[in-house]
Amino acid sequence: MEPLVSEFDSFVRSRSAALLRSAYLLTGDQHLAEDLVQSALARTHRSWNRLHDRGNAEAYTRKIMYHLQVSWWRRRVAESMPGDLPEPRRDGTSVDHADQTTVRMTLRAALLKLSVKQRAVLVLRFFEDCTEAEAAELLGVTVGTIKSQTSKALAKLRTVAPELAELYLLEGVSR
Amino acid sequence: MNDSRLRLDMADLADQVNPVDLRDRALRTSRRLGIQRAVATSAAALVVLAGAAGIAFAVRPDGQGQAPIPGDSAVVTSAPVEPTHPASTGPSGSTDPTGSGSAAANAPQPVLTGTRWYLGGNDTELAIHAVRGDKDNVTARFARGSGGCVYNTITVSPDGKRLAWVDGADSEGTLMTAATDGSGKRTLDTGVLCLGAKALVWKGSDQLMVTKGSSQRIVNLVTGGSSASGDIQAWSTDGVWSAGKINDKLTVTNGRDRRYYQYTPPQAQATNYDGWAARGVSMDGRYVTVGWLGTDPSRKDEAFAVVDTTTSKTVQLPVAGGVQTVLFAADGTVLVRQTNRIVVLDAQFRKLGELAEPKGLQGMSLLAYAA
Repeated sequence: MEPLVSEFDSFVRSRSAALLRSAYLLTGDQHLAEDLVQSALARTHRSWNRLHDRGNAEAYTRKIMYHLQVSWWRRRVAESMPGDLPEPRRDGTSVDHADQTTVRMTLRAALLKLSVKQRAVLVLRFFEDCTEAEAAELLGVTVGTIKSQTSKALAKLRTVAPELAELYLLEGVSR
Repeated sequence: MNDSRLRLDMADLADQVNPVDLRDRALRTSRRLGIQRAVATSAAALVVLAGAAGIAFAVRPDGQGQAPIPGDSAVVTSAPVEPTHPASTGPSGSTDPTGSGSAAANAPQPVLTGTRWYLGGNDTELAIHAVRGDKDNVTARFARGSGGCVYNTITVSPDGKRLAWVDGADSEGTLMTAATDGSGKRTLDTGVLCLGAKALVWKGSDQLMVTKGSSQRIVNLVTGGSSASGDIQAWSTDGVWSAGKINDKLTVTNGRDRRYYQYTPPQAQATNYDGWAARGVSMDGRYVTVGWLGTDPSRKDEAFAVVDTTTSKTVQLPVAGGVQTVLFAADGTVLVRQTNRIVVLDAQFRKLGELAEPKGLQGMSLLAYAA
């Protein structure tokens, strides 16, 4: 196997799980998440020669993934599926976790009621733990846009899922 | 602010995804992107060489008659299904920049009298839906197969009489055709690329442009023969006008008249794609619809804008909200598909009316409208 191919394989196999987690939050769907990561990885592969030397392949892949999600066909698919809740994964969870399962499903449904851009901002800020500046750089927008989109996204979460608002006591946030 | 619970719950939600090995899929997609670029490059080079040699790749009007639909049946067909929710017309919430609001009030009912063809199905089966008025009939069903070829390529001719698709498991396969009821399945060619945003492009209803290797060819469904194609991206519904590149210039032509135009897509989105291409041409050759290239999964029939080739300006469509598809119909009408409705415009883009799309159809691909 050629060295570059081997390096790309290693990259894919080591980072796919993490990328899929973000993609699942962005799309709310296993298959759409796979498609999204697959597409981003394909573009990374096309640019692998210049990326692997710089050691920023994952950052590039994430950037592509978010851009694809925000501006791509998934907008239509994802926004047409609010309320279409998935079967929870069968992982042996007990009745003790019923509340958490409910929260999880409510959060997923609420996220899907946000615009794709608002969803992306929340995932970046509260899942990826990006600062406002980092999120702005990754999405190619201003920090002000990140602030306003975060505020709007949280406000909408309060509206579409008031039960979550009680849990989170959602208010504005900056970092 | 207590956002730690939100962070924890998002992490918990993210844990619901099942890890999968995407290595092979990513490499296949990468290969397809490479093929698309190679095809675009070689087609452009072909046109440049042809221009240097004084060879015209202009598109002639298609004078061939309609091919007979073969009679033997090889595709599983189905009995008509119960209609979905009746399609209904309703008031439009959109603005009308053309100022022709009265046109909607005087629009004939129903607003669409022809047949809309959709691609539906599930993980194992694909279904061709013929929707006319409030009747939704499944005319043919296909096994989805292990690869994405059939799903990515299956298409209905502009006259609503033929199906065509590529049967394969990876990036290429066998070009097939049948009547829209699934009968008369025939093999036309092999080694046909099945990837890309527009793997099969209709030239009228009797010819298809396909990609073989790194070249584009036009396959005649009547004779079974094929010929080389220039750098064509789309044809008008009747196959008379084409949009493509001649001498590396964006061009619309009917073989006699030729018009060059320019278009710059929205830059904020353009960085996410491998360019754009014309997806349709109006019956008079004046307008083209445009859509992105390099999208995944490959099937993306949607056009997001209409360009006036006489001015190179984008047409302001009298609809509010995002546009999923724009189709030029043979009768001159223009169908603008949005999330849950189809807005019908006349040839001057004045609103004639709109059709609420039943929920069952909203997630399907709109393949064609036969007026």
